[in-house]
Amino acid sequence: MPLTYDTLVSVLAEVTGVDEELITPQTTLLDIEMDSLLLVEFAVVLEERHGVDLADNLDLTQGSTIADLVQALAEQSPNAAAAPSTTAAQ
Amino acid sequence: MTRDVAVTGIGMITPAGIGANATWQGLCSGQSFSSARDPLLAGLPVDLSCPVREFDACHHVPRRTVRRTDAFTHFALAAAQEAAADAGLTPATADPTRIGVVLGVASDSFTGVEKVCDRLRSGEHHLVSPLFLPRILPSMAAGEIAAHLDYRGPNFTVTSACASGGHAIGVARDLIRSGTCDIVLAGGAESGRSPVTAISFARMGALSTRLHDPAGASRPFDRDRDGFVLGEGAAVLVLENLNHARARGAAFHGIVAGYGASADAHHPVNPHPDGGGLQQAVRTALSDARMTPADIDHASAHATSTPAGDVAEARALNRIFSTAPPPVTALKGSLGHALGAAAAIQAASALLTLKHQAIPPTANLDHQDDAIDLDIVRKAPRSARLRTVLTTASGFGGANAALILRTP
Repeated sequence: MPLTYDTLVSVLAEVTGVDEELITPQTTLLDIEMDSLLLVEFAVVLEERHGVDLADNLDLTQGSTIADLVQALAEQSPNAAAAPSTTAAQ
Repeated sequence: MTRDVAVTGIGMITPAGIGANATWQGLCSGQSFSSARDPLLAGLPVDLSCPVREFDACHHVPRRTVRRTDAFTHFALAAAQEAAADAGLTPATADPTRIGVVLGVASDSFTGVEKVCDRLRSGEHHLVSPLFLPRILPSMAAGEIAAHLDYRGPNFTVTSACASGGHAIGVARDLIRSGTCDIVLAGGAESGRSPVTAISFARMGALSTRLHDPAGASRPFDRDRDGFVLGEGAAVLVLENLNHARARGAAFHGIVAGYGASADAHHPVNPHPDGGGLQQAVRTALSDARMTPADIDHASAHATSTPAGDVAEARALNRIFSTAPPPVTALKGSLGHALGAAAAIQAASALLTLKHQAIPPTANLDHQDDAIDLDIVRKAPRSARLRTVLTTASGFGGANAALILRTP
């Protein structure tokens, strides 16, 4: 299953228990209470389901936004074809 | 200082129902809630279980919590919330640092352990979920209750296999009696519906293999019993310092009047043939309650439906109550065996028994074992004047716990 922006938001919603509608590119990790454990869990789900290999930890803080997360994913994942793009975001 | 501790709230999630009232009605129906072909146990030689039905964790627990926690934690949170609401606990009721949580949980839940083992074997270490450990640990249920309800006092989990819930209530009672806490939420939570748990008990020969008659598989004290049925659930009591409860005008379900704990010091998993340790625990509880055997109006037995265990417990009761044991019931005929939660479910049910002045029947008791000389309630609830109930529990390791509950 290709990793689109919508899929990414859906995984974020699943991992954090936050409604998908509340997750926008401007939402911060703090807003959705994405702590370090959930960030690792998020990476596990991405690799298991979407083959996105995150060799290193994502360089993010609690103040990082979903747009930052998308950017970091694109930079880190060698699976470039699966890298998400922000163009789908409203 | 008063020795007695009040019970001001009850919460239960069991195969008989969601909530204490539904559980009570289910128990009084006399039916067994066990069934075959549990999808969680698919492919195992024994796939019987007594599941909690029609329980949507998201109705009781935030979705975020549901996703990263296991069934036993969901049951514990739901039961704790019911108990706290029943007791009328609000943030202003007590200093949160003086409200504790003590739960009995027998083991790790084992959920996802197969996947972790697969990842280890294949060297895919980076694909092991960081939520695995916090999901399965027995201590998580008590911790989640504290986090969700803001109870900041002592918080720990007691483990003595199938006696865990009884010891948790006893230890919690002592925290109040000693003055350490004003209120303790005490009970047990467990789900036995795990392939690891099921195959392990099956290999020990502990489980019923009555696959042709799932609803008749759990039959404590019956001559045709052949083992227990794995169950699940949680029960949580709000235990409260008597004066604290009176000062806020709380309603009492009853009093924890006596508690006794003992070790068989006999065998890793077999009960002492005469229930020697169990007798000692009951005598300690009687002494603690300043009662004699004649003061006990009813006994809710541990009786899991294993051939050896039920006989040993019956012998213990006959020794303690040398003249005439009071009427006995065994709830596991209806509920199966919820392991670490079982003794807490018995204690909560005993309080409901006092409230309703009726003893729920032992399901599936069609032909009482000739070797068991007890007056066992069967088929329908029995009305009786009841002031006290004894509940007993025994676990692997040889641990025993006895509680005496009485009317306010």
